[in-house]
Amino acid sequence: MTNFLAQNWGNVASVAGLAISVWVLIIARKAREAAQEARSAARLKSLVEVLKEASEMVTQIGIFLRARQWDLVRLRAEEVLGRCALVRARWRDALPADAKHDLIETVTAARSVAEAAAQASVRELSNDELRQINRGQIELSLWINTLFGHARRVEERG
Amino acid sequence: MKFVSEEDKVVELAMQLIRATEEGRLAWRPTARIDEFSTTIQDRYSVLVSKELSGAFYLQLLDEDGRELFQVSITREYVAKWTHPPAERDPIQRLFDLARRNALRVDQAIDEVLEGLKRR
Repeated sequence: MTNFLAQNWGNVASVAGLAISVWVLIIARKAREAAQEARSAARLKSLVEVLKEASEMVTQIGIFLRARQWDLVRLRAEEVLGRCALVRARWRDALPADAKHDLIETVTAARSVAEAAAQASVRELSNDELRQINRGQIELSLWINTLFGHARRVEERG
Repeated sequence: MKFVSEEDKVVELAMQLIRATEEGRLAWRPTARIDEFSTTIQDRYSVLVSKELSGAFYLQLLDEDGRELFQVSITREYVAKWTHPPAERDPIQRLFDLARRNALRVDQAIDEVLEGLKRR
């Protein structure tokens, strides 16, 4: 054995070196995968947080509507639009296909609430118009919460 | 498809939307504003059709972020200048009526009322 090692130390060292290299490669790959998973989880967690914030804003829109604070209604609706643009730009690929439909419906609903509030700040709205903007807020709430549900599901699946 | 003018393009868009609505390929929804209805196309665009207090009809196209890509208003003066056949003279008003019926499920309500009356 000692003889064998003495005669073939170069080959043995090469084989050992190769084994160590393969082992290091495997470890590095696993570390990279773990880092990617952690990044992806963090990314999804912030998607959930952004949509949770947007959902809270929609609830606030409902409160401001009842108080007829039109500037605040408009401001919050525009903030929801901003969050939707962020979701689309950053997480579009992470969302399932039906969530893309819900996202554009949310955008349309938020925009119409902002427009109605803008109108209300320049003239008195009729009772029908007030009822309609309230319905619009409920619709917006449904869409944003559906979107939030999609994000939660994606996060839970990992 | 070749369009002679922007007016042709608007008419073509409105006519296609009318056809798709009549064939049940488009579902319209009421928005937060009275007499305004929306639908989405390929999850990339929103189309809004509305009637303002002045009586003018509007057709708007929005992108995914809610930015307005174009808006066209059909007033009586505008329609009077059109050279299209009578059936296409007021496509936005026609589209508005259809979108309203579709969004409020007017036809379904009428069917249910008729069915209810038959049973009395």
